[in-house]
Amino acid sequence: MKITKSKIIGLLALLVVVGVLAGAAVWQQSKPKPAAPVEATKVTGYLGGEKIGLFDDPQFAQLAAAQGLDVDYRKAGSLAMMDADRTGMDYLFPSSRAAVEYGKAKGVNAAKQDIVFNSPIVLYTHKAVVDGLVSGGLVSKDGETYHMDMAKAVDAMKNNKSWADVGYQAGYGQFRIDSTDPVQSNSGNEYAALVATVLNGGQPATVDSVNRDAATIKAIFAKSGWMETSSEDSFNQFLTLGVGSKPMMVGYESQILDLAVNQPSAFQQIKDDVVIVYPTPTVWSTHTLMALDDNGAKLLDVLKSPDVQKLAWERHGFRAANFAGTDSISRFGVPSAADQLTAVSELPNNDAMQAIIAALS
Amino acid sequence: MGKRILRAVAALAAGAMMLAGSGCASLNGNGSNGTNGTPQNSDKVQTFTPSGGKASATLNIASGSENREVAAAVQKAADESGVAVTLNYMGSLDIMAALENGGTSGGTTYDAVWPASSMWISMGDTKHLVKDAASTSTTPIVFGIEKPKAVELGWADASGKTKPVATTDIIDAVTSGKLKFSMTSATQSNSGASAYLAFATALTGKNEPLSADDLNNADLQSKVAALLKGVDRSSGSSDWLKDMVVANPDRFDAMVNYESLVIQANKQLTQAGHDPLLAVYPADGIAVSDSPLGYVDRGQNLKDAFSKFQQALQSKDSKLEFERAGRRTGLGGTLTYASDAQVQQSFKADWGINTDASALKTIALPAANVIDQALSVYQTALRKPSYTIWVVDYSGSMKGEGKQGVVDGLNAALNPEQAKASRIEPSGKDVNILIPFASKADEPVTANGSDTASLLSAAANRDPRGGTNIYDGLSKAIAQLPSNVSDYTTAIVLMTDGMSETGDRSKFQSDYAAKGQGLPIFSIMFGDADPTQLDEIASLSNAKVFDGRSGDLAAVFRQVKGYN
Repeated sequence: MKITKSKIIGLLALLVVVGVLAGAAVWQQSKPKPAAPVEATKVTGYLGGEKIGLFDDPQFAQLAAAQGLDVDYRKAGSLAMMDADRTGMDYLFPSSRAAVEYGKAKGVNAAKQDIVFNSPIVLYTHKAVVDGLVSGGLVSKDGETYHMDMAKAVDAMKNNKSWADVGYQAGYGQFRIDSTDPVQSNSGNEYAALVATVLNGGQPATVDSVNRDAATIKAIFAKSGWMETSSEDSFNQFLTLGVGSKPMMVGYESQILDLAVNQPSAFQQIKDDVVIVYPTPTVWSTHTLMALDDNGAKLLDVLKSPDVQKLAWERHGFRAANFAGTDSISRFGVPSAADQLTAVSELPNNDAMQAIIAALS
Repeated sequence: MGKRILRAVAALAAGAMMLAGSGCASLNGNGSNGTNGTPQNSDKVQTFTPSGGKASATLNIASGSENREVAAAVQKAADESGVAVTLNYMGSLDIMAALENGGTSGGTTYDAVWPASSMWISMGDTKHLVKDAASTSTTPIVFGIEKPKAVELGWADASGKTKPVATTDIIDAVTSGKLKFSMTSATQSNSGASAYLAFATALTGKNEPLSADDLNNADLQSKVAALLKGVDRSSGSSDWLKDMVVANPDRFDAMVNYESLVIQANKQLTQAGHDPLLAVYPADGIAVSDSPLGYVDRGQNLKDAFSKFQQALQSKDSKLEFERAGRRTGLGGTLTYASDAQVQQSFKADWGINTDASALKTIALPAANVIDQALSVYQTALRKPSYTIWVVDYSGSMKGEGKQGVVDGLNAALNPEQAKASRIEPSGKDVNILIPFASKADEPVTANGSDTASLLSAAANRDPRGGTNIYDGLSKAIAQLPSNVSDYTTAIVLMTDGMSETGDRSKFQSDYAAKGQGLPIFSIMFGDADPTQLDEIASLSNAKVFDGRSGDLAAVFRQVKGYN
């Protein structure tokens, strides 16, 4: 092999580079080490999908890290998580008191638990649908907010009314309100409780009333057929597929508020079309953290801290344990959102909730 | 410590030399070396590397076959994110099965899933592994009907504009023999499953989601079976169904497929001077594919890379490529870049395409347990029975591993217990015929219905020896075709590991021309098989060649069975 002048220069250059790098490496080694960072404690557990936006928020990760926690999660429905494998899990974070009771009945022992957020169950629909329902009398409009008369709605479903019958002429098939699977996910479960309560004349459903109305409750849910197992997936599909696929769905108030803050361009696309309709009455979703061990308990403290409570409201739309946000809901720029909810129903007691789940299983 | 530094220096030096090397190459004018920035293709796997240079991470994704058509968008996202991705193409139901299996299938582990519909993630994610699943684009499932046929049926005018047609009207046209169509297998592919569920729902006449009682109703079962008799060819993949219709437009009236694949088909058809397929949107809807991409958390710490890639897929560059390929990216089924000239070239009104979001409708899908039951009933009772002739190489070179692979493969496809796991189990009306061959073809062994035991033991007991004459095997298979092929989904499956003697080639060609009726001859290539010989057979019969040379031969047999 002939060694040309340029090759020699190239080789020399390379040796210089290597020399510099080696020097740098030695110098790196000789530098004093920075103070070792405190190893963050990993905390993981099952999380209802609607709270993923908060748990994925870098600001939340920072606030948790300041308390020495590195928080991870597995997505699971509020009821499904009570039956899931809890090996290695530090917490369960379902979305309602009913799910907590259900878990207790299944032998889930929380070392510590507390209510962290509240969020009302709402209906999401499209402008064309709500206008139709206002004309048909199921929905009333008060300023920019809409209220669904649940007694009338349940009656219409019970009697197999079509979308056209209830005022939405362009709708195809029977009037229905889609929810998540009531046997696995909380928003569907609380909607089932609401339906059962309405069927009981507005009094919280009881084991007796559920047994009496089981066939009707089943028939109302059968109208939906396919049900998602997570409120997050359900809301995403509602937005993505449009009115022809999911005319109306049950969700949490926080979902559209979160969208407005965190995905402003997506919100721009839908803000003139998608509206919140508050059911009258509605029920509160009581997001309760169940700590399964000490690490879970530390996470509970972080979640209850004023900074996280403020973040959860301002960026993700979760109301505090006292049912209010830290300021007015108008901050989100969602015209159909209301600060005050007057007609709220009590959830049925745990035995009645179990009866509802049994009826729908 | 000193040793470690030395090793680090050595590594750096090696890196420096490599940099110097690639620098020289580009000075020589070979700047683009073909591996960076261009997808690498194979039948089932496609890798996209960032054009900017080294990838920060690689994601292995289980993806629906229809995503082959959005390769340009995937490449843009790989470029922008600096993350390489490997798409493993498979049916939506296989993706569901991989999730049930903890995010793995056949020894491959996945970092993400990308099926055609969220439904398969919801049903498959029983282990709670999937995170951040979000829709990448939408496309409705439609009928693509050859223009003259659509006009004749009164569903389109001369301009190509179509009107919404009730599913029951489409069913009437099929059952009265006015319309034939092809669709993918309901148990292998999302588009076929969606269409089948929509048909069954419409046939109940109740305007309600399908129930378990409906599925047990004998009257409904016979109506659905009558309708599925109109399916003139099946496939395991939506993308290949499109290719098949494009390859032989005179033979096919219509296909059920994604709007985006009707658009792709039309680009190819019109370029070749054929009539386009007009998109007919069932008035009561079939389903909309929402194409969700979700991370599979197996503890592999690639979530940051996943998030980067997912975000890049939402960038303007990437979305534009989705829409140019015929997918919609706006919320509620709208187009985001309707004014882009190339997007307009895809969403053409004279192909019946309706960009109004109101065209996106879905029937109320049944509950998860009913879907499961519906798929079982489809596979074991309602689909058109299949008639499959397996022409299998027993030449001397098949001794040992080769023969074992074939026997395992036949068991995976035909042993009812094993096949059930992949939802390809034989029904009581299926016919399977085995024709072993070496220098000459053996006598056929026939299995009627689901009792395939004697066929499978014949396959296990035949010793490999002698030469390779695929053409004699195929001629014998043609002689075994049923008298009324339209009663069956019929296919010949050839499996070989070597180059064939060619003395009987022209006899086979004249036999096929005389009696083959255009039926597909799928090939499974193994060992030293000659791709040219097999490609010739595939193009003669508008079928395809499956590559069994690397990996699991049994998996390839399963896949082929999914095509009929």
